[in-house]
Amino acid sequence: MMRVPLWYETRLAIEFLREGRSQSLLIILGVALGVAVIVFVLALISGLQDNLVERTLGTQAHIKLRAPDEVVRELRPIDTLAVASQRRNERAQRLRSVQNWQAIAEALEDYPQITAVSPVVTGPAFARRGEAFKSVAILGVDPARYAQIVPVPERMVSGVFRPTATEIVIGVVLADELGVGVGDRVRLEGTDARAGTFQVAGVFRLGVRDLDERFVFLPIRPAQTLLDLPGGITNIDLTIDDIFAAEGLARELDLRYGVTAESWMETSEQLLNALRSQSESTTVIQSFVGISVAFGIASVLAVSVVQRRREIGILRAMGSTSNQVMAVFLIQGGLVGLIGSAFGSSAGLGMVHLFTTLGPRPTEEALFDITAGAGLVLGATLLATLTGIVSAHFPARRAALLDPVAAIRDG
Amino acid sequence: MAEPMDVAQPADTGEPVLRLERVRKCYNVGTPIEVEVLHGIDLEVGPGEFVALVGPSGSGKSTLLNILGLLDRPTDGEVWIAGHATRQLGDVARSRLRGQVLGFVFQFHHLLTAFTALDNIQLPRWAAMGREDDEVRARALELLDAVGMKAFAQRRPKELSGGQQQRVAICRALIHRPPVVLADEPTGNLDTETSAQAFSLLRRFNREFGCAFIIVTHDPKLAEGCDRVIEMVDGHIVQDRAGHAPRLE
Repeated sequence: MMRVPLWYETRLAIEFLREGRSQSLLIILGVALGVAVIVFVLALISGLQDNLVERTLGTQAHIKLRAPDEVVRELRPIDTLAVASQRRNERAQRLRSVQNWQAIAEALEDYPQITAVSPVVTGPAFARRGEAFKSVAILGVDPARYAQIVPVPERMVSGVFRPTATEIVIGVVLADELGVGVGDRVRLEGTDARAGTFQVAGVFRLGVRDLDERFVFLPIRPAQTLLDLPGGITNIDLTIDDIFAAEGLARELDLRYGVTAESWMETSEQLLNALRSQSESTTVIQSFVGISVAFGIASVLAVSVVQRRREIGILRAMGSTSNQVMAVFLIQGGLVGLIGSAFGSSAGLGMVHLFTTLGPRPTEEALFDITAGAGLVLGATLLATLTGIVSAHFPARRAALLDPVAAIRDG
Repeated sequence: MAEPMDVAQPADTGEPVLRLERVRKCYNVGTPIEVEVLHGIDLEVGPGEFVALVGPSGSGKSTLLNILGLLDRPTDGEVWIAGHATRQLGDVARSRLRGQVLGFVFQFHHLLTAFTALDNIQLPRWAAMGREDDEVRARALELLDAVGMKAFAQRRPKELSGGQQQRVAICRALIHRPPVVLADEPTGNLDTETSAQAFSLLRRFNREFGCAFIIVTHDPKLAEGCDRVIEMVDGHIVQDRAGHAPRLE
């Protein structure tokens, strides 16, 4: 017969757990509750974070490269005392192109962590339709490339996201305010009285009022003409695979290409703080639940060691080594963690399901989607099993060090 | 401590199965309340001997038995078991040796309540082999049959009487056919009739398997039924004589 590693110790552990049924059930229930809380809270927080990230970063680039700000240059030697007492007027920033943007955009395509690169020319303009006159932001884009940065095609209310030399795509709020729809004409007035009349090809709703009110999409060339920036682009928008690596990459691009790179982490600091706070509170909850579970397992096993003193002595007398005795209790801890986490994960998933189906719903859509993936369940199971083994260490060691003579004599 | 030695087979040296050389045991060593409970014991037990260890309470019988069973270490002296010097052995080697060349029968049977009678008998082999084994199971059933308890194989200790439990405990001690079986008052917790049955069972296995038995007992009748009686008083062997039972050749 094949030797199964730790067969003897596992058999003893299972029989001991089975014999102390009510005690075992109680501690398994404790572990299950802990794991259920961890699975549910983690799923909830990660759902919330995904939702926040999607809503916020779903309408903006992860990194924006733009031309560096123009600064006032001192023409005389700096007298530090004099400078400190002087008031300096910062220079007004005009619309400028990123130097050598074609080469930079091409080079950025080779970065494995960058998932989309989209040159954008953007600047202020006015949209006019009859008596209505609105301040807007023109975005000259390559629609296919820009759709990889912000999925505008998925957010179309009517028409299509296909701006051409004579057609534009506008936000739903702007469309309402101008009283236009697909097929209607809008006049755009850009820099230095450069103007053009365009037909509305589509209306989008990004879900952010400011964007839905101001964004007007054109192809790059007409936008360059309206903004008097021939051949130039004002931004290179990027998305990356790991959003939390944005700041590091932005600093790297800053130095390498001599541009100003702004990550979402810089421009959406509040979002970042919110995400960090949520992650930290999750860790705190997890730690407390984990510690409670560990203490629960350790105390039950410690009692079990006391109750089984005589049996431990007998096992030692029959040739079991102290390591074998220790393994019996470590395995018990691991089994309690494993079984408890199996029940707990199921309960946690059930709670997730209940929350998504019966939870708060201000609209027909769920408040936000929460899903507990296999990774989360596997992670929680692994963590609970490890916690079981680690917390069993102290009672297991105590069992292993028992003097067999005293254990048999005193029970 | 020297760690593991190969104890897969007891050394077959033709020597006594047990030999003690000037074994001393002290408690609270190095303190003002140091107590010496064994004073330089020399003892040899040959293969297949059936020995009673008698003496008043506190004479050192149990301490000696624990040292012989490798459950305790002597303060001084050497203990040879089945040809192996044990003083320098570490925990793993002692445990293995214990599991392979020694069998234990306790006064209170000490079966594991979580296991059936059949499993209890197999436990020492499971500990040594780390797995189940068909031959071990068959042998356990044979032993149960030999003590008239095959029908109780799947019963748990709580479902057995004291006498039945003791019979299972005797089977457990013999599952690996050890050269030495140590019995600490094996009939001390049984009524007269059951006690006699248990004793005759030990005697029978001694004759059938040729294991040496060392039986600690307070019962003079039982002691006289042994081949050899060793009497201890205050940590000394004061008498080592033949019992009244006819010795088997």
